[in-house]
Amino acid sequence: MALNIYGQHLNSRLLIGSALYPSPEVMKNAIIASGSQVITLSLKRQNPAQQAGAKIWQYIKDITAQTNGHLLPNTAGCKTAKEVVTLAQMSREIFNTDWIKLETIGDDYNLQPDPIELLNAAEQLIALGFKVLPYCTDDLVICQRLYDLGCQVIMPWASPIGTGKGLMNPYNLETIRMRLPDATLILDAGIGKPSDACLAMEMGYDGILLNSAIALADNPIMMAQAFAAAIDAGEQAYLAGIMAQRQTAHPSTPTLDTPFWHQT
Amino acid sequence: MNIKINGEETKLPCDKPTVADALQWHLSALERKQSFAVAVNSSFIAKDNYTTTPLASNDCVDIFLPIQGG
Repeated sequence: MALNIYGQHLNSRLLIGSALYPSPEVMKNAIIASGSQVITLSLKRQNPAQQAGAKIWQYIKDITAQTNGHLLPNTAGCKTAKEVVTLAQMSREIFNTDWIKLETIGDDYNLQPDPIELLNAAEQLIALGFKVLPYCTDDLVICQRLYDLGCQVIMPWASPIGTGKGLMNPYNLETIRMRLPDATLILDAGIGKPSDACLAMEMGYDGILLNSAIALADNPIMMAQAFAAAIDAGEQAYLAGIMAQRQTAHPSTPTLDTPFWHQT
Repeated sequence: MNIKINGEETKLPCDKPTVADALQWHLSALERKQSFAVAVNSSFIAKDNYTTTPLASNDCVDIFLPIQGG
């Protein structure tokens, strides 16, 4: 089954960040090992003379060429809808894509999205022809409002960015899945372990976006492979249909005619 | 005319400069070939409009380049 992002069908359900790796070469190898076809990146105010941006951009272009991948620029660091729109327009020009990972930070301590600016920015970006992938909290109503505005992809957090705390509120995430059955739901931020990603996929999430959990692993390339396997396992489990939990024990082995049954 | 480019005070040697003039003054030919985007006073200026977008005194020109992101 393919991941559907605004009509683009992708084999991998893992979207991967390009930051925090020990080196550009490790980044490249980890992204390729992950099988991901969507790479997130950003823009920063800097002088072209510094050359750092050009080198990273060349690495990322090499990876997308090798993986037939897609770029997903983000609006990291923006706090207002106006900042978001300016950055998104610049990203579209440089990266030649209408996709934009919408981030509007409302609190510097936990990097929690500002829901008011988020909705405002989403509305403006959609009017400008962007295909918006908003990063939001696990608030059902905000997710619903984003979907109603025209965001076909919604990306609630598992927990605050970079914490690795995993799914802080599984109930909220399950509720969002149940209430928005037609949205493409991608769990974004806070994933720490492959089992976190697997759990979200078992809930029926469509994909996982992560960065730190792979980039900060002792062996990012091996961790990228682990996440790819966990996401596949979670998806297969969801499709296979997970058994309902029961309150009491039920023997797996048939008890009728078992030896010594009469002795109990 | 004095403007700011990436936060630094810059004196342009012309009276009615455009964004293209500022980039020509500030960047080498090699640097101008890199992938970058421009905002003036926090508003996006498309590449096609560099030569037709005038700058005023104390305008802030910001140049953005790709970086890693999550």
